[in-house]
Amino acid sequence: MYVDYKSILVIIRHGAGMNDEIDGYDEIIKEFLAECSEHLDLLDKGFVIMEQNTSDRSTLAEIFRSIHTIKGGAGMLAFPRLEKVTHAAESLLALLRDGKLELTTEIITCLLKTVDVVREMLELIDKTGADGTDEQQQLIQQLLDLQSPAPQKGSTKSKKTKTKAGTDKETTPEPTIFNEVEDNASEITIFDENKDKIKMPPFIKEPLKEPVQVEKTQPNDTSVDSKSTGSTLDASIRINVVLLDKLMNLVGELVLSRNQILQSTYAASDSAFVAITQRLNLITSELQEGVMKTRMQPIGTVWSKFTRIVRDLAVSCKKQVKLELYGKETELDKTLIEAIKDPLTHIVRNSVDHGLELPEQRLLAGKAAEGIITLKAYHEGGYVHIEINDDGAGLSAEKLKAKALQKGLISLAHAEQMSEREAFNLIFLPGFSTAEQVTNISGRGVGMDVVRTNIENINGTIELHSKQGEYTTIKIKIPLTLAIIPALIITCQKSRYAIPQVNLLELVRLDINNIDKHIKYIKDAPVYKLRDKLLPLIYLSRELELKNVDVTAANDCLNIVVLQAGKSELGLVVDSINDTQEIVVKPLNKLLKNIPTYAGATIMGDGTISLILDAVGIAKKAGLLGRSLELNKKSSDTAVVEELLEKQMLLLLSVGPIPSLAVPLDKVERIEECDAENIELIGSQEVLQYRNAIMPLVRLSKFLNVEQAINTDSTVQIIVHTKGSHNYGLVVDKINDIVEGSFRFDKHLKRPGVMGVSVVEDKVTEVLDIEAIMQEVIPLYYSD
Amino acid sequence: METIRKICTFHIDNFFFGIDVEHIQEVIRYQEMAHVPLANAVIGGLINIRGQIVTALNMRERLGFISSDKQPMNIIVRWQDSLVSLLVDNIGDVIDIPIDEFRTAPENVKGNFQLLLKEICQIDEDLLLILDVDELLKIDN
Repeated sequence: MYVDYKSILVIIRHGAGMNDEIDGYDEIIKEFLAECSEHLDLLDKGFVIMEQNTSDRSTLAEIFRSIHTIKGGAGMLAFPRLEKVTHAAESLLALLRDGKLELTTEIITCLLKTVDVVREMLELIDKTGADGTDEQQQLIQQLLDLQSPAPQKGSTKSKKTKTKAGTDKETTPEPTIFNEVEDNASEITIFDENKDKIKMPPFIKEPLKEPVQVEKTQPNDTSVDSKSTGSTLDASIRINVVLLDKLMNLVGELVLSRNQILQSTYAASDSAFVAITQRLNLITSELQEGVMKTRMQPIGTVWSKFTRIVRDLAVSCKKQVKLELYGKETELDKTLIEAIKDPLTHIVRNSVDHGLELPEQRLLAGKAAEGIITLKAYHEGGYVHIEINDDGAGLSAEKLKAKALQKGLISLAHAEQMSEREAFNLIFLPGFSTAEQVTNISGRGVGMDVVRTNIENINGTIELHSKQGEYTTIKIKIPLTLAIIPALIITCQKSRYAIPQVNLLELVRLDINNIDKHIKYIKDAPVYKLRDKLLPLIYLSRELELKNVDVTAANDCLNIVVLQAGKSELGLVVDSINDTQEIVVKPLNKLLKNIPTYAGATIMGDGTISLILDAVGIAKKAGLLGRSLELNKKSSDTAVVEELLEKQMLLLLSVGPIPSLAVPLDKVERIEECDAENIELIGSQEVLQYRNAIMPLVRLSKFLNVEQAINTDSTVQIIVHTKGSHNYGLVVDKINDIVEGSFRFDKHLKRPGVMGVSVVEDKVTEVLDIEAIMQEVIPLYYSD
Repeated sequence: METIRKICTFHIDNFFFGIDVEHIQEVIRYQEMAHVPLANAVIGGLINIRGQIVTALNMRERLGFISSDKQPMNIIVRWQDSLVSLLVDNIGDVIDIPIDEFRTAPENVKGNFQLLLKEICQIDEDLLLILDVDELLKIDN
C-alpha cells in the first residue's frame, strides 16, 4: 500500500490549531511553493510554445503534468480554491491532450490567466498560509465553458468538485490511501506523537484519480517523454543561495590558505610534505572550480520569462512580435543574473511598446508586419555581452533632443552641439520619456536611468545604437567578476601589484643595451616597437605617482607587461615580474572605488595586501584612451560646418614653419629615421632603399611649398605609408606626438592634400590626406 | 528612553575625541598597512583583518593635524555595509555619559571641523569632542 508521508502530515494538519506545532510543516509548504513556482514558469513558456505550434504534443503533455502536480499538491495540503482552479484547467487540458478539443488563442489566454491566478494564490499562501477567499467562480466558469465549443451555461459541471470518476476523462484511477479514507469515514481519528486523539473534520470529498506521487512520477515521466525540454526537476536539488555564498567565501579563504602553505613549502625541504601540499593544491583548485560552477546559471533562466512577457505585451499593444534568443546557455553568476533581470525586462518591454511599430505602419514602411526582437548573449574578453535588438522604428536624435529641451534637461546650445550618439544617450537622463502616451507598461520615465544605474552597479556598461526607421540595438557588457582569478604579480617600487591574466597579452624583457634600439621617443612619449606594432609605453611608477622614481632603473633590463586595455594594446613598464597566482578578488571600499586604476585588492599568501590593477583605468590615466578634447569654446564659429568623427588616432608632426600638422595614424605604417646620405636619386625622384625595395620619397615641405627646416644632425624623419605591398615615404621635419580623441573636422578650409582642419591641444592643426598627397606628387608610383 | 550613551574615546595630540560605541566593531593595535597610491591623502592604506580588507583613514590628516611618525592604533568602525579603520594616536576608555551632558558644538568652530563635530561634553577637566562618523567618511577622490 502506498503511503506518502506528506499525506499523513496533512491529515494531522486538519486537526484544528495543530498547524504551528507540527515540525516541518512550514518546510513542506515552502517546498510546495518553490516547486509550484518552477512549474508556473514552465507553464508560461509552454503555453507560448503551444500557441505557435498547436500540435506540439510533448509540450502539451508537460503542461498537463505541471498543472496536475500543482493540483495534487493543493489537494494534499488542503488548499481547496487552488485545487478547484487547477482542476478546472486540468480538465480542459485533458480534452486538448486527448485531441477532443482544438487549441485556440482564447483558450491559451484563459489558461495563461489561470496561471496568473494560481500565482496570486500561491503568494497568498506564502503570506497568510491559506489560499484566500476568492473562489474564482468566473475563471472556473470560463475554463468550463471552453471545454465545449458550444457554451453550456449553468451546467451541472460547474459544481465539478463533487463529480464522480466517470465524467473525468483522466487516466484510470489507482486506489490510494486517500480514496480509502474518503470513502470510509467522514471523521477520522488519528493519534499523534503524544498519543492524543485528534478529531478530524470532514475531508475534501474530491476523488484523486492519480496518486499524487510528486517525487516518484516526475523522473519517470521525463524519461518516457524523450522530447521533454530539459525539465529542471531532473536530478537537481534546490539549495539556499545564502548557503552557496557561504561556501564560496570558505573556498576563497581555502585558496588563500593554500597559497600561504605553498609559499612556505617552497622553503621546506621535506619532500613528503611538499607532495602533500601539491595534492592539497590540486584538490583546492578543483573544489574552487566546482563551487564557482554551482553559482553559475544560464541566462536562459531570465529569458524564459520573456517569451510570455513579449507575448502578452504584443497582444495588448496589438503588435506582432517574434522573439529570437541566441546564447541562452551563456552562464552568469547568480548575483549578476538577479541584477540584470529587471533592466533586461524593462528594455525588452520598451522594444515591444515603443521600438516596434504597429503592423500597418511596418507594412507602409516596407517591412514585414511581424517585428523581430533579438536577444544575444555571449562571453568575450572576460565579459558577458548582452545585445537586445529590435527592427523597429529606431531612435530619432531630433525627437530626443526636442523632448529633452522641452523638459529643460539640456540647454539649447548643448542641443545644437550634440552628436547623434550623445542625443541617444539622452534617454538615460532621469525623468525622460519620449512616449507620446506614457503607457502603463513602460515609458514612465523612470526606466532607462534606473536601468543604467543598475548595470553600472555591477560594473557593467550599456550602449545604444540605432538607425532611424530601421533598428535599435542596446549593448550591455558585464564583467565576469568571478571572485577568484588568475593574475600576474609584479613589483613596482617595492610594492606588489596584481594584473588579471585576462588583460595580459605577453611579457617582454628588454636588455638595457637594446633599449635604444627598440624604444623610440615621440616627443616625450616612449613607444616600443613590438614586432610590427608601435606599443605605447607607460611607466607604472609614474602613473601611480610614486616618489623616488628612477626611470632608467638600476636594473639590467626593462620589464614590459603587454596589456590589452579595451581595444588598445599598451606596454606597462614595471620593476620586476614575480609570478602568476590565483588570487581572491576583494572589492575596494566605497572610499576607494572611484580610483580608476584599481580593480580591487587581494590578500597575498603572506597576509600582505596587493592592489589589483585595472588595465583600462591605467591606460585612461596615461591619456591613451579617449582623451575627449574640449573644443576651443572661444572659437564659436557657427558658420563652420562641423562633422563629428569617431575616435581617431592622429600622428602630430611639424614641417618648416608650420608647427602642427597631423596624419591619421591608421595611414601610417611606420615611423623611420634615416641618414640624409642614404637618400638617393632616380632621375629627379628621391628614393630610399628600404626593406629590400626602393621606396619613393615625398618631401612634405615641397608639397606645401614651405622651407624645410634644417636638421643639424642630418637625420631625416620619414612617415612610411603603405598601399598594397608598396611603401611610400613622406619626409617631415619632426614627429611630435600621437593623440587620440574625437575631433571635429572643418571641411571648409580644405586645401589639396588636406582632409580638414581641427583643433588639437588648443592649436589649429591641418590634417593631411596622405593618400591624396602621394597621388598628386608621385602618381606614377602610387596608382599601381 | 536611553539615559546614557557609551562613548569610545581616543586621543590625537592633546585632543580628546569620542565616537558612539554603536558604530565601533573593535579596536586593535597597529597593523601593517598597504599604501594606496593615487588615493586621497587622508587614506592611510589598507589593512588585513582576519581576511577582510579594511580601508584605514588617517585621522590626523582628516582632522587637520600634521603627520606624525608614531604608529597609530586602529578603531574599526562599521560604515555602510563595510568596515573602515580610523587611525588614532591612542585609545582611551569607553565611558558612560548621561544624555543631558551633551552639548552642541559652539558656533565659532571653524568650517570643516564644524561638520565633523557632532557634540561636545565636559568630562572632568577635559573637553570631549564627539565626532560624526558619516561626516568623517565623506571624502573625495
